[in-house]
Amino acid sequence: MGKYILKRLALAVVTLFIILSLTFILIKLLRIELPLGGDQKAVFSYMENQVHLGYVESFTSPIEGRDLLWQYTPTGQKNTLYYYVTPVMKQYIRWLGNIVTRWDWGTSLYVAPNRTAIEIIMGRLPVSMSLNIISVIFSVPLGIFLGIVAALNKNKPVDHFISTFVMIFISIPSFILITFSVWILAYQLNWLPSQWAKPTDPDATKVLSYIIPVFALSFGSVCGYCRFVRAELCEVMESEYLLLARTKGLTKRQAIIRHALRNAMVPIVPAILAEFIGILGGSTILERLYGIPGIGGLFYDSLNKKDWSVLFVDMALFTTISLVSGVFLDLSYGLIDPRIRMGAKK
Amino acid sequence: MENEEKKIVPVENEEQFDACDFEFVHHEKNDKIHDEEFKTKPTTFAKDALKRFAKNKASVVGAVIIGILLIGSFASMLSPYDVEAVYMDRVRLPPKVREASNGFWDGTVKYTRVYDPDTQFPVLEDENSDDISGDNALNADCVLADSIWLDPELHYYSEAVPHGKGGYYRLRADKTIEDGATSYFFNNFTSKKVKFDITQADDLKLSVTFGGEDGLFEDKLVPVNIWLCGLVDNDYGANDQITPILLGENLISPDGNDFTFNVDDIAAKMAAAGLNKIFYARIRFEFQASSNVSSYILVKNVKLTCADTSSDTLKQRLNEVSFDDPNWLARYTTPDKYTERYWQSSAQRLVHKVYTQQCTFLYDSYRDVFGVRNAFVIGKSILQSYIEKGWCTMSDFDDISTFKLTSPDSLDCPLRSIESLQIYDGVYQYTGHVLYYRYLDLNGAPSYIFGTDAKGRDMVTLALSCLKNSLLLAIITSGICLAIGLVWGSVSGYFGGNVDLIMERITDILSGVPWIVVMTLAMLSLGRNYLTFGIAVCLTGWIGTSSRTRTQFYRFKGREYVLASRTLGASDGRLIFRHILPNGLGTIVTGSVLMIPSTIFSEATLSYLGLGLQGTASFGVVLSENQANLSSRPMLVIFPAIIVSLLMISFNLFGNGLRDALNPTLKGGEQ
Repeated sequence: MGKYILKRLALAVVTLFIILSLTFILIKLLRIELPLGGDQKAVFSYMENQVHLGYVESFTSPIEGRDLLWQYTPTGQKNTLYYYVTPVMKQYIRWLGNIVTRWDWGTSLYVAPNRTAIEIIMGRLPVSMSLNIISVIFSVPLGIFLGIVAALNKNKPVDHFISTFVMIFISIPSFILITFSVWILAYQLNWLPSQWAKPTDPDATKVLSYIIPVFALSFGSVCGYCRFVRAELCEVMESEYLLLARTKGLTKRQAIIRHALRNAMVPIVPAILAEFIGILGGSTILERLYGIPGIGGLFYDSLNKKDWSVLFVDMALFTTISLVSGVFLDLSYGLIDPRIRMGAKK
Repeated sequence: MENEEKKIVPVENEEQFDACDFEFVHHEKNDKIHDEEFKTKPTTFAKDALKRFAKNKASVVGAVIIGILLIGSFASMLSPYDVEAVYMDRVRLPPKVREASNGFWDGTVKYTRVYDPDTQFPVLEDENSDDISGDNALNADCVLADSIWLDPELHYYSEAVPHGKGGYYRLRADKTIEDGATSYFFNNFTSKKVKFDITQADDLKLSVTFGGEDGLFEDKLVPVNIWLCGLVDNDYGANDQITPILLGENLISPDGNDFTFNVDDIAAKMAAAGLNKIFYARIRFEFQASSNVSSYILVKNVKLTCADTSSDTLKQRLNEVSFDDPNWLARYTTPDKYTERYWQSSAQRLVHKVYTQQCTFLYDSYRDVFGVRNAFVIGKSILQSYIEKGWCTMSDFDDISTFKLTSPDSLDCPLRSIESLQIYDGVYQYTGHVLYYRYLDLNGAPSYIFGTDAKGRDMVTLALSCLKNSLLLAIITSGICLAIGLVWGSVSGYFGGNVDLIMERITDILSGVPWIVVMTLAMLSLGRNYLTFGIAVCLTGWIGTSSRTRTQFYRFKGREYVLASRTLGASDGRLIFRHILPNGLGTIVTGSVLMIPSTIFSEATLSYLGLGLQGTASFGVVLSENQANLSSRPMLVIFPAIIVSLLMISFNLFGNGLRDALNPTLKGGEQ
């Protein structure tokens, strides 16, 4: 077992490395866009920033064989500065070296100027974490409960109602749900704040402002769990050991609680883990609409503003989380259900 | 094992059975039994699947809805409204199904404006109005008069507002005067220079009303003195120092609250001061309070009158300094270029209890946009074309009075009347009333069932053509992914071993790159249009299909019938296409079908976030553009949202039913 874990972890690290490198190289191959507008001074300061970050090199005389990015004669000086894009491999090695030797992921230019990328992420992580944890705490019991109720009353009106409800809310895109809930609850009825509470707001507002995001995040999860638990429990109810338990003389309640539920819950734990990871990355729209300073929004912010350092840290974070969670997922399968041992030979 | 042999005794006749306990009945005793034809027809996989599908009512509903949406989306190409163009003359029209009556789905918008009791009509000129038809003010013709509803609650203001009524002008004490040991607070209220003409005038009267309110203010400013001051000889004198004339002093109200008093003999006082000519002077009030600085006095009106026999100019001048509308006074910032305010006091121009009354009314937007437009400019060539069509006549193009409609009752002619004519460099410009929908050569005002969005495009056509684009994109990419994934998965699943290992690792790496990064890179490099999106989806979308195919292949690879076929010498291709693939196709196809709504959904999400398509008609773009109008035009967001949700729900239902239908193990499961 231990060897298997080590092998998986090593594979995860290798995959992470390959993914990050691939993304780095692909992004660096994009053209550098000069700021719009004819203001030479603005372009000059932008160029100097890029040189400082190592993306662009400047020389005092043109170099053969390379594409000139921009040239500029500072006012009052005689020599012209020629800017060339640093070769991608050079940037790559320097970036890797920075990470490995100094754990320096770079400084952000646009998202929060002059702060290191790690700082930015660490600042935003607690909010996302707290939201995720609260919504998991809220959604898991509710989803499982609804799934159990639906499965026990299979094909009765309760089941139809819950199934329809779940079906509808899985299908509606999340941004529509969030838009409407914000509109109705915050603007029409004024019960809840329409934006995330700032640190200067009173405590009551801070607590209230958790409600809509948690509600939005957990909605999809509740529906997913409910569907999943219902399917599992229905399948288990048809099984033979349950029939035996009933024949033995257990009441329906005893049979279900002692046998059916435990067996049906087996696949839930991996699903919970998977949802947790998924929520971390998938709350971007919510953060955008509600103004939450979290790491999901950071991804799109940095992408839009072309702030590559922050983007890479964010991507590294997400990829690591998903790969490690993949490993844990497979391991947890083996832990919970002794019949399954992933990767086991025949 | 039993060693006993059971003897079988043939039965010779039926009577032997009568002694038995059981009742036996002979069955087919004398018949020759042959193979019989099947009474039921053999069924193919497809028919069987269809039967199972039809049993699941929800899936049938889902399929029907998908069919309707498909037909509707392609029907959008037949719509008379163009989606690519931008019509800025009809932006953000409300939905309209019936004629304007009571506000429900009839193309009217509800407005709240200040109500003017003098004209019994809402005030329509407002800087903050919705700019529907390009004019800044609303059009009075389009207000539905019987829908005006007055808000009984009056809004009170402490600063001057447009169209405010009533109230008092509020003066504060803000200067401190030290007079020996006591200090008191002080203010002046001074009018502009008035030209007095006492050679003519005799009966000059000044009457002022100061109002008060019990318990409102800490301390009351008390009017102390009234001066006629700043006497100068000519218009340009700047000094206001020459002997002021005291008109009244130590004014004390009889009841302590309201001060109303008249100064009757101004003329006499002026004569007594020796002024018998034309001169300029100001009226000045002085106020004083003994305690704190937060004391006020309220001025209700100031009236300067003269005898009826005086000249009109004098009356007009005196009228200019009189006021009984404090709101007007506080707002008035003088028309003359010397910027001298009519009444000056220090600090802000405050009012007290000026009120406005709001009213809400329904406004017919369609009539505003498509009805008669005033001040519309038409060129000469267009006028000539109308004359050619016989709708109007104009004998002299330079004389607008010769313009006549051939039949004033019919609404054929767009130009209803001409107000004026300007000629610039030989170009004739006629300004007049134009019936706009006739100007656009339509036979009636168009009515949009769900309104128009911010670029003037019909909502229904827009939503359906977005649907068409999304569906086309999703179906094509799903098909491509299916093809690629099928090939990859079958090769990987059938051959196994090292080939499988390598292909699996490649798939792992490709699926490890976050999809959003792939999408963004593609968008950044190749431009933001549907083609790029399709390519980006196809780049990683086949992975799901290939893993499903691979799973199915592993399931069926080891079956006995495959082994039997291989023993008989079947080639690889025959095994794959004839035996394994048909069994696994069900799950694979279901997965592909369910990929369609997820493609549409991710495209909508991306466009909504601004990372995807821009400018082209797509759901996310439409939804994000209209997001800001959610409170004023909710239909613009609700309708596309409903269409997207309906599409996703029906695809999910359809996919569920398909999954059950294509699963051959369910055959004969439920009777």
